[in-house]
This record gives sequence, structure tokens and C-alpha cells, in this order.
Amino acid sequence: MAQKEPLVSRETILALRMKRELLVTVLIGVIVTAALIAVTWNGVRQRGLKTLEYKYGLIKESVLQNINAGDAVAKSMQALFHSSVQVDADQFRIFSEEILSRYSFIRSTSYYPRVYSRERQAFEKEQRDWGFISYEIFEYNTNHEKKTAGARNKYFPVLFQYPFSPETASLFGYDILSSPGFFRSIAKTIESGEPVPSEPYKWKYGEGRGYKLFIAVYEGKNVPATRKERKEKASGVISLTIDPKSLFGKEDLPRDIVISLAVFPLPGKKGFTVFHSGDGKTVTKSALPLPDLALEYPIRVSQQRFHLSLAKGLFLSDINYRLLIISFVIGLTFCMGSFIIVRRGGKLKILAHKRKLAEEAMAESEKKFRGIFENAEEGIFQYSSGGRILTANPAFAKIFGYDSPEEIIETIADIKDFVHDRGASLDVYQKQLSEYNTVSGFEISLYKKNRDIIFTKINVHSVFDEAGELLYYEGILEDITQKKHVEELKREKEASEAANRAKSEFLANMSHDIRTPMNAILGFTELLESEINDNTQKRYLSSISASGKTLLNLINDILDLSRIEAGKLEPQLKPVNLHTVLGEIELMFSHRVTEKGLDLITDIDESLPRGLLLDEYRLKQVLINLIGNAVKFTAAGSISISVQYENPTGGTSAPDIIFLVRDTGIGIPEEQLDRIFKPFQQQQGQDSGTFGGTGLGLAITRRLVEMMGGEISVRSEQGRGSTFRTRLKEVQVTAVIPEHEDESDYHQYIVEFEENSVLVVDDIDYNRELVKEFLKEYNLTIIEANNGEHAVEQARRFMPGVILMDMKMPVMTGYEATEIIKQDESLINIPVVALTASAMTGDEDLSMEAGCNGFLRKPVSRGELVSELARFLPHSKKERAAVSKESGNGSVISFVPGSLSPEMKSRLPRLLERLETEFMGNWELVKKTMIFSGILDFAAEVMELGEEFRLEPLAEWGKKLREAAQGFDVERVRVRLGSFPGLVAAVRACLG
Amino acid sequence: MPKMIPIMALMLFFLCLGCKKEPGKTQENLPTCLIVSSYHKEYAWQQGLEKGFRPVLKGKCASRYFYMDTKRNPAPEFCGQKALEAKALIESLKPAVVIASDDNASKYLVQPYYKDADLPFVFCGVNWSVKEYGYPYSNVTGMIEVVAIKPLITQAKRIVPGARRIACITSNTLTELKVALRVKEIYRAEGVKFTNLVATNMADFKRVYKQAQGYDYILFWGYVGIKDWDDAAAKDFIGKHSKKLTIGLNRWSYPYVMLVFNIVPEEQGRYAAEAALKILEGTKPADIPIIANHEWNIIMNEALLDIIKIKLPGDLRRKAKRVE
Repeated sequence: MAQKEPLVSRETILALRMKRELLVTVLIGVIVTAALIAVTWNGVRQRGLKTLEYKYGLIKESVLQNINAGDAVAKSMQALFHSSVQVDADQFRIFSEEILSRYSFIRSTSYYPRVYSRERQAFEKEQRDWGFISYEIFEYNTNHEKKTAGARNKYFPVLFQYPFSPETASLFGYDILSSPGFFRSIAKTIESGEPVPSEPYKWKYGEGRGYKLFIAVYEGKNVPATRKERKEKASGVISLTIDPKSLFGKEDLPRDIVISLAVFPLPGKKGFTVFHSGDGKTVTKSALPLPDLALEYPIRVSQQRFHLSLAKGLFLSDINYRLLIISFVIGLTFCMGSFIIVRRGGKLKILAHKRKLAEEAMAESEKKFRGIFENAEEGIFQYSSGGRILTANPAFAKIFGYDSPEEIIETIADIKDFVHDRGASLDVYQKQLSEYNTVSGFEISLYKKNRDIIFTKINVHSVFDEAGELLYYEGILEDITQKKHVEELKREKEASEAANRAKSEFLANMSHDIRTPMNAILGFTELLESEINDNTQKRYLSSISASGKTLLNLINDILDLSRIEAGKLEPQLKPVNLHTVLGEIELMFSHRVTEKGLDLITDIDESLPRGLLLDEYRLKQVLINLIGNAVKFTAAGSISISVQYENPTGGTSAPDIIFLVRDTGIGIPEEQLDRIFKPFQQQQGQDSGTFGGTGLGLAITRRLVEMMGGEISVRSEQGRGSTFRTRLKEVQVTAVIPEHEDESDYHQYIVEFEENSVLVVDDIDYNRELVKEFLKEYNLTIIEANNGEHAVEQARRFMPGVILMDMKMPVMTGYEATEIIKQDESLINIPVVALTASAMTGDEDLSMEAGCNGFLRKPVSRGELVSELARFLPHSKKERAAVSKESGNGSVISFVPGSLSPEMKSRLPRLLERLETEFMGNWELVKKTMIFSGILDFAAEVMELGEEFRLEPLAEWGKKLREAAQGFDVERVRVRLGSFPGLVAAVRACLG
Repeated sequence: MPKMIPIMALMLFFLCLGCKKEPGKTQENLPTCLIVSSYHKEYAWQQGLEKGFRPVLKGKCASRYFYMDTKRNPAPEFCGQKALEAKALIESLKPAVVIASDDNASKYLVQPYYKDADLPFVFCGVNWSVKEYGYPYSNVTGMIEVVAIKPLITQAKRIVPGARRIACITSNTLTELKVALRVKEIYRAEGVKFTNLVATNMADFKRVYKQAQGYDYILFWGYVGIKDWDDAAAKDFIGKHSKKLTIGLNRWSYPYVMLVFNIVPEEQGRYAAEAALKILEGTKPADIPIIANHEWNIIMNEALLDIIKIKLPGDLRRKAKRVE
């Protein structure tokens, strides 16, 4: 009888049994090892805990004691501030020095006063005035770079700190409130009045982190009772920088105990590890390697909460390691055996899995490339050597205007049918393809289905079979028609910009070339006017001068228009008083208006703020243009100017300012109202012979108004007159009220130069001649040079007191010559004044960059030239008015004794006493120091004295001194201060 | 005995090893710090500065001193000549950093020759406003000397509460007038009337001192600018005519005033030396801010204070140095 074949072979059963036995053996080994470790561990733990409890207790006591000490120190510093009138840096230093010498865990102390944003400027200025010359409240950005502190309601900047060294000095002004890690702790200490720790931070005292202990100080002598009062009366914050490691005492920490200290700045919020003696990770009970040896101690002192964790690590010396090694070897053997078995099985599974993944990836790749093919914006195609399209994607069909790839494949018999340029381009394409089997970036124009022409870029290569036989061509085609258009536009734009640059250069050159002879024309005219007495000749000269100035105005108008159109003109805002401006304009036109028999009426809203941020020069230009036109076109009647303001948004800080210029002149026809603001357009029928003008005035006016953020409009009735309405929008009001400036220095003073020399550098002979003539009355020797190179030679030879330098010259320009002079140590101190006919924006900056110390623009008047030279050459000044007075009675201020009332005379002895006792000493203070803030104070004191004694000349003297000091006019201040003893002498003289 | 020879030789070898100098920086390979002083070595202020410099620089750089001696020779020509000598020394010595102490070193040396140069400078003892020297430059940092006016005013308020009229006696020297003007600005901001009384000679001094007794208290900067100053006569006169508290700002004025608030030269010296070392470590001068001194002392002339029977607060008495 044949034996029945078993269902499972014997080998298989044996193999299974062996596996089971192996598994049982591994399990037994693991259990025995675990039991041995557990017994050993329990013994160690019991012994460890007993000895550690004592050690732990010592550590905890040390920390607790130091945290208590820190709390007490913080409160004693708070008490110092509450008990002193005003703690200064030295008191803070002495106190801090004492603290740091006693408590090694306190590394530094700082004090941060509270500064409200409204007090910030004054606070910063005070610190700068007291020697911290660059003091400002600052914060750090995310890259830890300093930046000016942003706007906040209040700041707590560093004012005192100890230790005080060059290293810590850079922290002065740091706003501690800008640090998010400190912000909440500061708020908490202010609310509670108690010491509050901060989050830890990485500090400069080496590795690890520290934390700050903040405590608030308040106005008054005590911590206010309620939370609300504490928030209101907080005057500053003190911080102690705590070294957490030193909280554990001066002794070295036990190496076998893992110590971790966490601080909880705010109740109920998360804590931060400030010290860890192990690997730097946060220690918690569950995270310890051997949790059985860890103990935790919560610590609370006032508002300070800490958490101390102590843990003992397991070391070989603590355990019977031989047994553990045996257990470990057994377990390891079993584990390795099991591992090998599982690994083999696993490898097979992995192989299967990898195969599956590869198949899936291939499918995915196919899907992806299909997606690329279908969705690509470029056309993808294949065509046979006969030109038949084999494959095309939808983009290819779309580029040629077909609905689908199928349509294009079926319709097109030969791909060459697309080609628009069948000449040279096609030949080149075919030749390249046949020679190199690839064509890259080939641009060619093709026909679309509707015979429109498109520009394309093609990349094609040949595809061969394994035997090297050509199968087909395949490639990518891109429609670059749009790109071509953009390139075309760009080329046109560049051409246009080049034309504009050429225009600007032309204008600059034209302006320069006209101004150069104008300098001589106007300059020599000015000289002749002072030398000729014949009235007819004087009239002729006036005509030359007026014509020259008109020509100059025309050039300026053209340049302005050019600058506006180029966007190079920007408003230069500064405080302007419109009440003063209107007064000046009224004065300017009063003569012309009177000559024509017109009335000039000005009306300004008295409540209009005195300080407005405006571009005064351009605003005046607008008003002068409008009023000038009004005067020009009005034969009879009146011209009125009114200034009003409106607050469209309801606020008071940025009103709209409205200027109305009305006249009763010839008016403008309605159909021409639009064109008057266009350049070079004048009212039709306007007789330019009668009225003159270039037609640029109103065009510039409108652009200037728009540049200042405003709008201009006109209403007019022919024969009745016109009204121009200018509205400047949202003009900022400023608290700074500009003072009215005095008339120019030159006209107010006679300048007498000390003996000196001036080097005049100009390539045009008559321009040098003009300067010589202007300066011939002065005690100055004129040296000449006709180009930059010559100028440098002459400067080295004669060492002049000042150099007047034309900037545009042959051989070597003024810029180059100035640079050479300023690099030469022997010449560096000679001031160089640029004297140039160029009038383009930026010329002054260029001159200053080259090293010039002053700047004058041609045509230059004698007054401008002398005033500029007076900036650099030693001279004395005499007030024209004062000179005449001095010659009259020998005193700058004169009192006529006979004109004083008996009451006034009776007050004079008291006045004299005060002048001689209080004022002479203070006068010597300011006269010798020449510190302008002191001079302003002194001027105010003299004015007050004059008003108190109702002595007008005295008050007037103070007023004049104040005006000179406000204008930083050193010479005028010096002259006026010098006359004070004369003033006192005059009072004395009145008393006989 | 012969057996002992190798053992002794070995011991000698180890002893020699022990004798060998420890490796480290010797005086020769230390960088050079040149200290250009406006004054002379014996001047009290200068000695205070040097007390600040020396311990900080010791072992860190080789210090060389140059004294311009302009306190005894204030003529501009002399100052300019000394500055040229200092410049020549700098060029030959090629120091790593220069400390320029007091105004004239800044005025005659740093400003004209080393503005924004590569060589770093640290100034100290420059009176109050450094703007007249054009500071800050990229290569210069330092400590400004601000007289102890703030503590003076704060403490004077405590000693003479409610004072509204203050007299100040100065000579006609620029330094004194500058300080007086600054004090005047502070008092004026607080609504206190400040009157400066100038004394150029002894007779003037007697006149204005008597006049000043009509004010709430008196500031007196000292006798330096007063011609024909007679020490004994001044002490006698002050002893007989003092009715009000007198306060000074210079330590040498203590025989003639009741209280002196003075600043500490050692702080200036110490800070300048520390800044110089920071620069040697690679910090740019421009990264160390220019700041003012913090420390001040008080000197109490008890004999004069007894005349007016005024009581000082306890903390001031504790801080004060007493002189007769």
C-alpha cells in the first residue's frame, strides 16, 4: 500500500519548531535579564535616596537663600529711589558696587526711567546736552542691529548701569520695553510693585543664559497702595541681572547630580529653564534617564516662582555591573538571532514592495509626462522626414489656430507649408538639421491657419533607431510674437529716453552758454549804473538790465518746465507764514500797481495758522505769476488777492488753503479757457507786442500747483475780468512759526575785508574782468587763472585767501581742479567757491561733492559775491545805519536826556543798578562764550527789562540781538553784543 | 656617590624646566598705547588720570606717555608746536592706539591731523561740549568731562530748599564762563534767577562776594582766573563776610567754599584705558559711544560751614571728604 504524502513536509515542520524554540529561549533570556536589572536597580535606589536627600536639601537651601537675597536687594534698590530726591548715576554706582561685591549671583544692575512719547525728544536732548552726544532711545531689529525705537506710548530706556564700561556703554538708551521677553515682566512688576523675574535670555557673560529681576519704582516715597495708582505713578524700573548658576553658591556643583532650575515669570504661564547642569535639555521628571532618583522642589519668594529639579545619574560604581553584563550578553545573543531571522523575511517583503513601487512610479511618470505634453504652453511635435506631422500636443495646434492636434495632423501634408519665410531662413534650418541633427533656438516666421504671420522659436532634433536610421524629428515650438512686440516697444522707449536726455543736455548747455555772457552783461551794467550820472545813459542801462533779467527769467521758465516734465522738481517744504508772504508780495507789486493806477486789495483770514509746511519759493512763484498776469492784463480797476482755508476732513492739522486772485482786466473768452494752461499757448488775439510773454507762465504755474498737491482753475468773463482759484490740499500745520527775515546782509552792512587775495578762475576773460571790477574797492588782490590746471598752479604759488572757481572750463574743469586742491595738504584749507553758469538741479551737490565750500550761480551780483566772500575772508562789518548814528553821537543807542519824562528819570537809577549788577556779568558770559542758546536767553532778559522799565530802545536792542541770534548771524551778534556797554553808558550818561 | 650623579643631573634638569619663563606676551611684543596728555606729569588732575590708566593697561599694552605741558604754557603757538612733536612721535612709534587726554590734545593734535584717520584715538577729560572739535570722528571715541553740576543743583535744593535767586562768581576765563552759562540755562528752565558776577582781580572779588550775600546761595568756581589773588587775604575776607552757603566745582577751590562737588579723574582714565583695550581687541572706535562721566565726590569745608550754621543731610555728610 502506497504511503500517503503528508500535507506539510517534515523539513518544514522541523523548521517551524526550531523557530518556536528560538523564540521561547529569547523570551526567557529577556525576562531573566530584566529581573536581574530590577533587583540591582532597587538596591541602588534605596541607598542613593538616603544619601541624596541630604545633598539635595543643601542645594535647595542655597538656592532659596540666594533667591530671597535677590528679592531683598531688589526691594532695597526700590527703597533707595523712593527715599532720594533724585538718584544720580554716581549714587546708583555706589549702591550697585556694594551689591555686586556681596552677591556673586548678581552680575549687573540697570535703571530705566519711564519716558512718555511726548517727553522723548526732551529726554534725548537732555542726555545729549549732558555729554552722551549720540544718545537716543533705540531698540534691536531681528538681526540684532540697533535702530531708533519706533513710536510707542512710553519707553523705558537704559539710563544708569553698573558695571559701567566701554562694553556696556553701547546699551545706554536701549528701550527695555522693546524686548518681548521682558515686556510682560515689566508690566507685572509695575502692577504689583514686587520683584518679578524675566524670561531667560542669552547674555554676554559667557555660555548659558541668565534672567533679569525687575522691580518698579514710583513717584513719591512709597509703593502706591492700589494697582491703578501703581500703574499711573510708575516712574521707572530697576533690573538686576541674575546668574542662575551662581544661585547655587560659590562652591563647584556636584558633578553626579543633574540640576535644573526653571523660572516662572508669570503666574499660570509656562516656565523656562534658566540653568541645567546636564546636557542643556529641560529636565522634567518623565524625561530623566532614571526617574526614580529625581526630586522636585517648587520655590516661591514674593512674586517669584521657581522650580528646582534634582536628579542623580546611574554610574557603574553604583551597581553590580558584572551581572548586568552577563544578562545583557544573553539578551543580546537572543535578540541578534531573532533579528537575523526577521531581517531575512523582511528583506524579501521589501523587495516585493520595491518592485510594486517601481511599477507605480513608472505609471505615475507616464501620467506626469502625459500631463506635461497635454498642458505645455509650448507646442510639442514630431514630424517625419517627408514633413508629415506625426504627433502634436494641443498647444501646437492652438499656436497655429487649429482646434485640436488631430485636425492639424490630418490637414497638413507637409510641415513646410507653415513656413512664411521660404528663402534663406528655411535653407539655414534644413542645413543645420541635416548637418548637426539638432537645431536650437531657431527663430522663424510661420503662417497660421488663417494666414496670419507669427514669430516662433524652434528647438528640434533628429531621432534615430538602433541601426542609425532616421525615424522622425521631434521638437518644441514657442510663439514669440508677443515678445517681439515688447522688444520693439522697449527699443522705441529707449530711443525716446535718449532723445529726452539729449534734450536735457541741450537745455543745460543752452542755459550755461546764455548765462555766461549774461553774467558779463548784467554785471557790467550794475557797475556802470553806479558810475554814470547822465540820465539818458542811465535809462539805456536800465533797459539793458531789464532786458537781461527778462531773458534770464525766460531761461529759468524753460528750465523749470523741463524739470517739471522730467519729474525732477520736488516741493521743498519748510514752515511758512502766509501772512508774511502776502505782505511781501503786496510790497513787491505796490509800485507797479500804483504806476498803472490800480487798486491792490489783499485779504487773508486772520485765523489762518501762522506756521504751514509749504514750498515758499514755488508758492511765491505761483502767486507772482498770477498777480503779474493780473497786473499785466488789467488797465483799470482793481486786483484782489484773498487767502482762505477749509478743513474738508473736519480736522485742524491739514487744512486746504485757497488762494483767489481776481482782476478787472480784459478777461478770457470761454472757448480759450482750456488752452491757457498749456505750454507755449497764449490767448488768441493776445497782442504779444503789447503784453509780451512766452506763454509759459501759466503752464508752469499749473504744474507747480500740481507738484505741491493742489489744483488751479479759472473763471473769466471777457471784458469783465478773471478769477484764478488755487487750492493747495491738506497743507500740514506746524508749531514752528518762521520769523520774518531781515533785508540782506550786504545792504545792511558795509563789509571791510582785511588785506587778502582772491584767485579768480574762469576761461572767459570778461567774466574775470567783472569780478575784478566788483572787488576793486576792497582791500583784496586779484590773481587770475583761465583753466583748472592753471588754477592749481596759481593756488600753489600764491596761496590765496579764497578761490572763485568756474566749473566748466577747457583743459581741466573746475570739479577736477577743486578735487586736486582739496587733496593737497598745503591747499586743503583754502576755501573754494563754485561760480558757475550752469543752472541744472544737482550742480550745487556736484560742486560740494568735489570739495567746494560755497556756491554762486551766474549771473552774480556784487552783493551776492561780497556776502559769499565775507563767509570766508577776515573782515569787519559796520551797520550802515549804525555808522551814521555813531558818527552823530558816538553811541549805538542814543537816549536824549531831555526827552525822558520825570517818571522815567526817577526809574533810571534802579535800571542802571540792575544793568550793572545783574546784566553786565551775564553779558560777559554770553559775549565770551558766544553760545547761542545763552545769547537768546540774554536777549529775552534785556527785552523783559526794557518792557519792565518801559524803555523802548532797550527792548529794541534785545529784539535785534534775538533776531541776529535766531539767524545764526555771528557777526551781527558780535557787533550787537559789543554795543551793550555803550548802552549801559548811555543810561549812565542820562543820570549825569 | 657616583650613583647619585645621574639622579642629581635629572633633578637639575627638572629644576631648570621649572625656572623657564612662562610663555606669554613680553613687553616687547605688546602693542603700543601712546598717551598724549595736554598737561604736565606733576599736575594733580593728570596724576588722577594716570591712576586710572595704569592698572587697566598694565600687561595689556606697552604704555608711552607724552606731556604737552599746555597748562603752564597756554600760548597757541606752544600748543601747536607740542602737537607737532606728538605727531612726530606717533609717526616714529606707530602706536596701535592713542589716548588723548584733555582739551588741548584734541584741539591741537586730533582735530587738525587725525580726523577720520586710520589710527584710533580715545579722548578723555574733554570739557563738556566736544562739538567744537567736530567729534564724533570715525576713528575717535572717549569720555567727556562734565562737571558735577547736576548733583550740585540736586543737593543744593536739599540743603537750601526754595532758593529762587542764585549768584555765581566767575573769573573772566572761557572755561568758567562756559560752565556758568550752562548752569544759568538750567536754573532759568526752573524759573530760578541766576546772576553771574565777574571778578577779574582781588578788589573785584571782594566787591562781588559781598554783593552775592544778598542771594539765596552762591556758586564760586575758584581763584584761577583772578589776578593778584591773595590767598591769606581771601580766606580772611571770606571768613568774615560769609552769610550764605557757597559751593564750588573744582577740588582746589575747597579752602574758599563750604562745599565742593568735583568729578573724579580716575574714572576718566579708567574708562579711556578700557576703551583703548576694546579697540585693541578689534572693536571699531565708532562702535563705542562717546559718553560722559558718572562719578562725583563732595568735599566739605567744615570750618566755613560752621560760620553759617547750616546742617547737611546725613548721606551727604557720609559721602563727603572733610577738610579744614
